[in-house]
Amino acid sequence: MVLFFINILNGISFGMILFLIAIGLSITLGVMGILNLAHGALFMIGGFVGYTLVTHGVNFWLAVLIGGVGAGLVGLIAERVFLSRLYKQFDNQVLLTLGLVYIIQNLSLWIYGGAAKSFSAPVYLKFAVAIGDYRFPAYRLTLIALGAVLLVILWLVIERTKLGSIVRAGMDDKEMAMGLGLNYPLTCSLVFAFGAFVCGLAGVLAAPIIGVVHSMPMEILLYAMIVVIVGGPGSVSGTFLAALVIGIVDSIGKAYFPDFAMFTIYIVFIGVLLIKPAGLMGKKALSG
Amino acid sequence: MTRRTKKNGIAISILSLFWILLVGISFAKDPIVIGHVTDLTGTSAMEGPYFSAAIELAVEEYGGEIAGREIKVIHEDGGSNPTLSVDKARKLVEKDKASVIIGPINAGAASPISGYLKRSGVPHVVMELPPPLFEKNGHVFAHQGTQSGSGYLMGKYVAEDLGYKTATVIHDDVIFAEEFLNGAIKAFEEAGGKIVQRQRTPMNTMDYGPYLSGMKKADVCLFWFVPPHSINFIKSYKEYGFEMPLVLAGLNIITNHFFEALGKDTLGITALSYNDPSIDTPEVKAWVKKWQEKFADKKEISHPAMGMTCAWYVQAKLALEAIKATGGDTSPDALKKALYNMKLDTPWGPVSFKDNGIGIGNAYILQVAEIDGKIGFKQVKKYENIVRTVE
Amino acid sequence: MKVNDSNPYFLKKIAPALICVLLFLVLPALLPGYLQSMFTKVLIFALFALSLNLIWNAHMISLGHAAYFGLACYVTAILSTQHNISNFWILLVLSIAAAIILAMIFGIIALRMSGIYFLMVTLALGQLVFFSSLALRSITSGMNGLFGVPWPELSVISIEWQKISFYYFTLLIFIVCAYLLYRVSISPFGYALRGIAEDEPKMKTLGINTWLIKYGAYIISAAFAAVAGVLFTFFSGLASPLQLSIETSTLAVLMLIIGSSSVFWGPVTGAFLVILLEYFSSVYIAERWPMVLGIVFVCSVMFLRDGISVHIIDLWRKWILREEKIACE
Repeated sequence: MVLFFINILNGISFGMILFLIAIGLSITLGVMGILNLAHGALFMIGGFVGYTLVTHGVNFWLAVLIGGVGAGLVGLIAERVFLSRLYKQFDNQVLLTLGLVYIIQNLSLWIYGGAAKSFSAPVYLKFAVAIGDYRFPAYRLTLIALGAVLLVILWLVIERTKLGSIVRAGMDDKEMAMGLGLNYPLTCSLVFAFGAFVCGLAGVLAAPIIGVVHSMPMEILLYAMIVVIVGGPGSVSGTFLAALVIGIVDSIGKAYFPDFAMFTIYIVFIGVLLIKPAGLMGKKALSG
Repeated sequence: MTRRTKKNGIAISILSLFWILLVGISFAKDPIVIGHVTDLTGTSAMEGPYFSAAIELAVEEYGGEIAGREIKVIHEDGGSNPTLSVDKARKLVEKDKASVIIGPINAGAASPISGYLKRSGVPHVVMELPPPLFEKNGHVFAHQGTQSGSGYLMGKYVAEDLGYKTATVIHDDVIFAEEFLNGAIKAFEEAGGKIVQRQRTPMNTMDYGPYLSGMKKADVCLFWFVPPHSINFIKSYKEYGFEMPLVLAGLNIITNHFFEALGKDTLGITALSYNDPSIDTPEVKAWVKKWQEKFADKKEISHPAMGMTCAWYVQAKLALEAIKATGGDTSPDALKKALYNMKLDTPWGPVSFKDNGIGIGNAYILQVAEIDGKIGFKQVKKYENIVRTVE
Repeated sequence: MKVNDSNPYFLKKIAPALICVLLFLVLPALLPGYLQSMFTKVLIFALFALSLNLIWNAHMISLGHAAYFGLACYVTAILSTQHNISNFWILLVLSIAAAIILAMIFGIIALRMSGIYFLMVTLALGQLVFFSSLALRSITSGMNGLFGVPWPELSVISIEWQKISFYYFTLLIFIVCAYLLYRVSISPFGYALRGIAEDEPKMKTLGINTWLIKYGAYIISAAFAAVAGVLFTFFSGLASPLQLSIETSTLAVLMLIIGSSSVFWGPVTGAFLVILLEYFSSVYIAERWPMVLGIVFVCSVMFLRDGISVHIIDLWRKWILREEKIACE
């Protein structure tokens, strides 16, 4: 029984990382209708920036923030220079963001080499908490707490602030929002950059558990997309719920059905698609 | 822009024609060509630069020529992509007239290349390959033998020398890891040990938490993952507070990168290597010094770092010595004969081949320890002249 | 819009055909072996990209099409290396059947949505197949893949296969398939598909079962991707997880987009460009070639909108045909 609980905890901590990765994609997809296939690359950028900082002695949490800012900047530039011109041109969005992934991946290979890089969480978190006969790392508990905090912050921003209401208005009816004189393009850029920022944060926070390596972008993108679709694009609570569900299903699968471990996520994914295509908390039918 | 694109197309066509001309011209001089298929952009991109450098180091020892013919090494990037690798091998043999092909590291790419080379009989000198590719009097020469071989030896050591009776096994769900651990499990069970659990983790696993939570207690944990996964695993293993000794039951992939990334978490890990820069003999130390002097200015590869670097050096030496033994005759049959009769002295001991191309040589058991305040490998046992496979 | 139509029939119809003949029939025979292989590869991937183009223009953006390509590779490889079936036609039929069955299942799931979301779902489904190939390692030999696929038997004639004869064989199959795809695109079915792309609600009010048409198109597209897969397996003599991976799916998509999805033969140009680029940049700037590829793609989006074939047609009209610039869509 205790073991089951531990596995749930594993799932929740993994789910928190998934939430952070997916939320940026969810918002940009749901709000701006932009498909950013380079989203996974932003995660990796955060991770590498964090790695460089931490290995030069910078405080871990500061490195988290700066990693996020780094990814956010790249995202902002990508949006301003390239993506803003490609409204509704899926072909070109796909080609462009894929091209960016190729470039960023090879650049990382050039700068950091091919070896996976890893760094540790702060020393004061490097212990394991005893739960029954088992131990659970303190750092993962911290991640769970952080994820919950970020969820609350994001939810407040979107539901309770002016910026959030602009974003929500644009999601429902873009032309109307623009017609009302709101500076929609600027808002879009900021939203995009913010999504990238959060993704970069995730990159640094997750690194002590999964490392950083140049081949990451597409793997991460896949996880993000599954979470976004299961949760329903554009919905913060949906993304959070989906991330938890997927994280827990993944962990339980690995622990109890090891031979099918890699499929458990897909089963959930396909199940949701067949039963409720709009996602767990999605509001409208998904047509891009 | 489109005009430019058109011009590019014309430029490429002209280039192709030039190449054809060059091939014709190159009949005048007749260098010895060694073809090397490497990985500079794919999953083994980290190791790529070391391989090319190792070959360079070997070539230098011959003064750049054998029997009056210039030695030319041509490196081609196969990116661990099977089709691209075979394309490159084809180019090396057909266009560059390579007499021997070295590499690649990735078995998924090396196997089809062997298949392609079989037709022409051009010798294929590799590190290690799965059993089906070895044939009596064949053209494949793997000086580190088969994958199960290294696992088998490690399993034997763990059961007989360390006296462990139970083991929990965990590894990447990928065929070479499967082979390594199959060998290890076979040896362990033959010596009377019991495997209490075997976990195979999918290649897309990022978080080893769930597997660690479910890990059963035993005397020892036998594991093998590709390098990035190994780093994650070892780190999480320590975070979860496990105390079972960790044994890497297959090809040694622990390098300086690991020591840098994980620090004290690596202490106590046992590994097996046929060729490793950390082995403590005067010959190996001298070789490492030679490497460091030659590549001092190249920051990423200034230290050989890993066993595979040494393996590549050995492969290059094998090819070059074979050519020297034939007096510069690079025809497939002559080279093959030379390789089968080869007994090469390397810093890690003598290397030779069985009649089916599987290597015979020494093996070393290493353990991570703190030496003079620095973390590195110390040698705990040496096996001499073993056939590097499960017999 | 009056077009200066005094161009002789030669320039309009014969010249392009002549260029194609020279390029694909004559040139390969003159090139060294490894460059011939490149042409074969171009045709195989062009076919793959062409199959993708069928559904692309109906806003069904599939980033998981390698599942069908790779499935055909594995079916062919497994049957020929483990069960001794080497008849080309039998293997072709079986591979296509496998792909169609898979497409029928995946189509139901994926067509629950469209546009961007369709893309994400197909990507995930493609990955599912990829991981399956790794998991079923007893049949598929996991990460290593299968190799040693022998040359096919044609049963109609017996051929001593060489790289060059296989190239012409591939060309033959390619022409047949391309022709079939062309007929599909100009058939009522094809028009219905385009109509759906432009205005699906309207098509529905006309009483057309849009879902069924999209589903049918998806399955047909998978079938042709499978043909490309079979050819690939014989060409390279192997089947590996790479043929099922995102890399292969995205490669086809990139060829499609860069070559122009709005022109029927666009994907062929795209395949030509990408494969040549991949090979030559890999030889000359080995370590940085993915970056070069990425830069080419980014630049082509920014400066060569709509793909290169559109511009080629434009240039052809302007310079060779000397047509007046037409202001049109």
